[in-house]
Amino acid sequence: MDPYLKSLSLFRRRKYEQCIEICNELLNNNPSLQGPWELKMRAMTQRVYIDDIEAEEDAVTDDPMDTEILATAPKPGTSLRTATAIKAGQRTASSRPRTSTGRPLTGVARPGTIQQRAGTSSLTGNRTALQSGRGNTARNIRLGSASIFSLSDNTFNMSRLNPSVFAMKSTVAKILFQVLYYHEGDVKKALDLCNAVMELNKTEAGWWWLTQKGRCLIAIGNARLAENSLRSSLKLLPHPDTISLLARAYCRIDQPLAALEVCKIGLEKLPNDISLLKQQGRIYELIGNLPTSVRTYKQIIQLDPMNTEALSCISVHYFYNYQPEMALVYYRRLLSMGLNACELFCNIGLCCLYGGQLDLVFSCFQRALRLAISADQKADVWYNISFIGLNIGDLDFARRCLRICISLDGGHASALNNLGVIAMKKENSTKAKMYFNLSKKLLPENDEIKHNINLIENKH
Amino acid sequence: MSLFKVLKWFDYQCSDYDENYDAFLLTCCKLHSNDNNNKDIIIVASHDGHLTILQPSQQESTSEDKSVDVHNNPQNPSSVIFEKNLNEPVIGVLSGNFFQTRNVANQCCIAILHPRKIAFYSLLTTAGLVEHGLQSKLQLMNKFEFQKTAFCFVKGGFGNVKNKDFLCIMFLDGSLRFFEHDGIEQNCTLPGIRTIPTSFIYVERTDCFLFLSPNWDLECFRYLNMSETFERKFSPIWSINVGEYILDMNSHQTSNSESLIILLGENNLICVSDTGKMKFIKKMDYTPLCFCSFVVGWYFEPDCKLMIAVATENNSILIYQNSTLVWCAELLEQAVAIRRGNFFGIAGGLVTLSPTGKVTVGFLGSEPVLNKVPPINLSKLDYDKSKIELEEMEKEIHESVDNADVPFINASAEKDLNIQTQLTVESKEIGHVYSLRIILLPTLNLEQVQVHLNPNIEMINSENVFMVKNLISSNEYSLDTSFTLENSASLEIFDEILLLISFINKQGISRVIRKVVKVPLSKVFQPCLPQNDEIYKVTLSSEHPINFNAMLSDFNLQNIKQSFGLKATISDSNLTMVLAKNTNRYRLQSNSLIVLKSFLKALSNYNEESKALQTTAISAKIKSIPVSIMEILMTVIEKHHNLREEMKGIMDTLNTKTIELKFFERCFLAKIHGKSATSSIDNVHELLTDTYQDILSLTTKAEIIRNEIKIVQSQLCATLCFLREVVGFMSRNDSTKSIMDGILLMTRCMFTDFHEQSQIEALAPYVENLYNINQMKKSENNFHQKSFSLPRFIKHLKSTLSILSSENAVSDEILLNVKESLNEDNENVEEEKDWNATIKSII
Repeated sequence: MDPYLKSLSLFRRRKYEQCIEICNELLNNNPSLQGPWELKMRAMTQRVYIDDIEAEEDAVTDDPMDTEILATAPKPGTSLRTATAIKAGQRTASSRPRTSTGRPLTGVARPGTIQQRAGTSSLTGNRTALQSGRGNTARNIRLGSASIFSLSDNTFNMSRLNPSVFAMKSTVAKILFQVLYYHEGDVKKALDLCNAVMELNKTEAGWWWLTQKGRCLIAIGNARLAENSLRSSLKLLPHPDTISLLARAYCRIDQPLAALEVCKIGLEKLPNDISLLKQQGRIYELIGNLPTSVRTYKQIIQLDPMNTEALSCISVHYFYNYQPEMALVYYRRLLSMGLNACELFCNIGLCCLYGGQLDLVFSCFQRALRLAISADQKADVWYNISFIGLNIGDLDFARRCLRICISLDGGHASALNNLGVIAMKKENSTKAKMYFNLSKKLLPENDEIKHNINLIENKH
Repeated sequence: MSLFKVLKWFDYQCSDYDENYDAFLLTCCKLHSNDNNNKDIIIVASHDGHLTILQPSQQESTSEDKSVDVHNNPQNPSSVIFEKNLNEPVIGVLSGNFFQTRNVANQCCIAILHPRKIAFYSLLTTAGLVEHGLQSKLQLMNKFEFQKTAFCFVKGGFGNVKNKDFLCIMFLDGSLRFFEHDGIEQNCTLPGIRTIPTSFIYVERTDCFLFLSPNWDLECFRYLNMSETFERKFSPIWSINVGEYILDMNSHQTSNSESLIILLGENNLICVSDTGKMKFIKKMDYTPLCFCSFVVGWYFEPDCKLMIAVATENNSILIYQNSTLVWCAELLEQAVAIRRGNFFGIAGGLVTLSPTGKVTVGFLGSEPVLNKVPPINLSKLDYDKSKIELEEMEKEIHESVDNADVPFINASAEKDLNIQTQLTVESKEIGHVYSLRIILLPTLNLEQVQVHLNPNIEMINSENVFMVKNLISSNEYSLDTSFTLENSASLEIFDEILLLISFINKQGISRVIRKVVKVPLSKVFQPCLPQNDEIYKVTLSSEHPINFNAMLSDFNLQNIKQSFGLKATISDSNLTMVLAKNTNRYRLQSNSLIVLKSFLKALSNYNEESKALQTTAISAKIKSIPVSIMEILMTVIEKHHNLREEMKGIMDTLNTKTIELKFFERCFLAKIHGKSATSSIDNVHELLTDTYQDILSLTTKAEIIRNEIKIVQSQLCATLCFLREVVGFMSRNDSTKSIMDGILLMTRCMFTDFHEQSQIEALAPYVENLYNINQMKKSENNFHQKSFSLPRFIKHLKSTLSILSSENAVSDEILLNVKESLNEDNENVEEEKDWNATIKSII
């Protein structure tokens, strides 16, 4: 069988490693073959491909050189920066813990990095409910780690590549763009290529290039410019990716309401599109409008009852609204769907604990520990187990769990805080103070820790 | 992931067990075209050339037999109607009416695409008397060979021909060849370079072919144009950009006026009408592998439904009606190809082909199959045993964590890791080069040891952290390092290096060993002539004569009788020692407090060493200390504080200026972008330049003050160190000593100021507390709220020191003490004269 034919078949079956191997062999024999070159580039892109729209949202960036910021004190509910402030004022919906940036925790850890992604499947594991959020900027990690996957071949020397030359080769340009953006992580160069192509074709470039230009501009932090090109792309074709990118661009420049509007208009064109609904739900969550967010997620499970993200977000909402039994229903649904993950068992264990089904608690956590692989996961599980101790009044047990948690993850601020609380209960205020100060160093914005420090200082 | 599972109806493992199957190699069709009994056959081929034709048949067996079948012989032998190895790779299988003219209309015609050949076969079946008596034969009808490698093919009545199937083959280079009945061939090349071929389809309603260009445009070509413009350029009648590579595509007529084309992209499911209009794009949040689509009902009926089934990488099948998800179920195995067929007289069996060639016919079970979590098989807990285990572990943890017994822990740490040091000094052009050799002798295997080198003054160009990995017990590891000292350190003196050695012991607990390497006196000083008229003078008295010859044996000072002079090697300060003629009294004098301190320290070290050796221990006492020492201390503290205040002020201004600069820069940018063209740009530019100049001058000022602070710091440090040594000599009372150590925060002479808080400020609460205790005042314990005030601190320090020294005076009967010096009560004028006379006579 023709090796190129074979590699094509492997590519279509998503066996990218083997496909690249065959292409390498072919290219070793005859480096001037165009087909294997392009196929290899495609396979390399696909192998590390991660949907950057699905990746975790970055925080709003402050650009001191941005001359277009108008209001520094936005109205409540219109900005991602003030989301915390409204929440603190209302205190109605729930007391959901917040991430290090002060946002309410969400139910799902989205695939931020390549490492998190198991194989190439799009399954996302849901994180523990009570974990302390350590938001990592997905983009930076992802773009850096792609190069780890390169098969130690320096066949492409991307730094020397001249965008204007490849812009003319319309058949290769798109493939090359994806290699630059997804595999090499060289956003600047990818943007150069975009610009070169647009210059060459003027208005004929098509929606694809406009969208990609917007994508690059968002990635390099120039969301305002991205808006224009995404808008003109949308006029040509309402692609869900473009809409999501536009919404993201608005979030980046702290206009969540505009982002929601974009999603709404997009949903008129693409009715019941789950990716857009999800985007809406996430944005509502970010601006602290949890009831609407949950309503959106409920709408999603009407359309797609298998949607893990929606299910987990709803259960997190119930959990923090003091309805652990309802949360348990959703988590059990996830479980019966075949999700067998450490985080899920941990969450079920917590729901059982707060729902009063104490006989199930330990076996759930045992399973969670069995399934925990990374040190982070183990630390989170141990942290959650400590709540059993706190609830049944066995402070020594809780302290031991927390210490194990700390030994696995020295930067677990919540665990340090809780150790401080335990020390306080044992009237060892020096130790407690030390723990609080440590955890404050790790999570400077956290209200609970501040409160604890105040408490201990006023006591003496 | 789903609550539901696709239930198995029939399965068969094809003869090729390798991963040689893809989406082109599975097809379902009727055995006889005029059959209407809903019994399809399944044709599977592999890249290795294995061809299998199956006709799933129900097993008429009891339930007991079924269970046997499932485990031992899952295949019903009569289901396989044909199996052959064609000895040539197969890349595509289709069945259709390829030979209507010959008398095989009633038979199943199969077209098999090999990389360089296409072969047409007819499947001849002869029914037997019983079910398993069926005989099948594959008859080769026709074949054509090509010069280039084929990629895939489609069938259809090209040119709106009814009841006939023609074939169109696509080659790897993107060219096409049409096969019409009886070997009429036609070639065609699509415009542009097409290096990565994709599957293509024929749309019957409009008589068009649809291709995906390398630009990811879906292009529609009219068949008529293609056949007419043989080997000539022609262009698509419409094209639409779908923006991604297409794994597979399919088309169905859904109404009289429209066919829908369904494209399975890498990330999206796209539906386009045959006139080039985008119907919907569905973003898939999973990884699709293959799909099949079908229409339920007839296109001329109003309620005909387009159904799409997508198989995903994590073994799910999702079924959409148009763009709405209607069902989701779990597949038994991953699928590389999926088709819909009619079996056992029932329409709508789901045929899937696994990567390893297992054909499964299934149906969507509506009974939810709940996921059963595998048991974790934990052995039952023996509580007594666990209790003992827990206690043992607690004991171990307690032993290794307990920090009540620090000296013991340190001793045991030193037992684990023995450390020896050697220090040598060389004089070179660049100054003194110190080389230090550290020898590590571990008594157990250690993973890694970190050595941190910390001399009491700043080093130049030398790394001070060393890592040794994988230490094996009783081996010797030596670290060599050499460094020079900063020349500006004229106010300091280099007399010790602190080594901090940290490692993790076998219990997994980190241990730190502190080791002080003393620089021998001979490396710190060199002999010189005694000097007169120095600023600081200290008088020592001792019960026994001090043997300076032994102490200073390194210097080769011959027979010290009356006096000797020493000169610090790195600074220019001198030290003169004068011995009294009759009494055991000694006078030290120098221009520099730090030199005095260094010598006193060496003396006390020598003292302790001789104590340890039980030789004649000297108990030297300080008889007189510099008159103005307290004054000096206070002045220096004040100066230090003032300088820091000034620095703080500059930093604040600098901060404001920086913010201003940023603001002006922004204005400048806005002006440049022409946001507000009304005012001129010059004003902003002027402001910008001014602010920039201000920042520059402030930075220079800050630089100067920082240097000054550095000098004051070392003065302060020297004074404090000296004071400490003096107290050390004066007092026998250990508690006084430790209080003094606490006040001076000096275990070594390094002075650390942090940005927010200087060392003096850090000291303030301690001193205030001591003061309050002495004054019998109530401790307030709210230091963190009080801001630092210098006069208060000085008041507290003075009072505390005087109390300390007066206590000494009572307990140790020292004639002269700090208190007196505070009161500037100088009674020793006469004695002073005496000393001066002695020195003069010597010189």
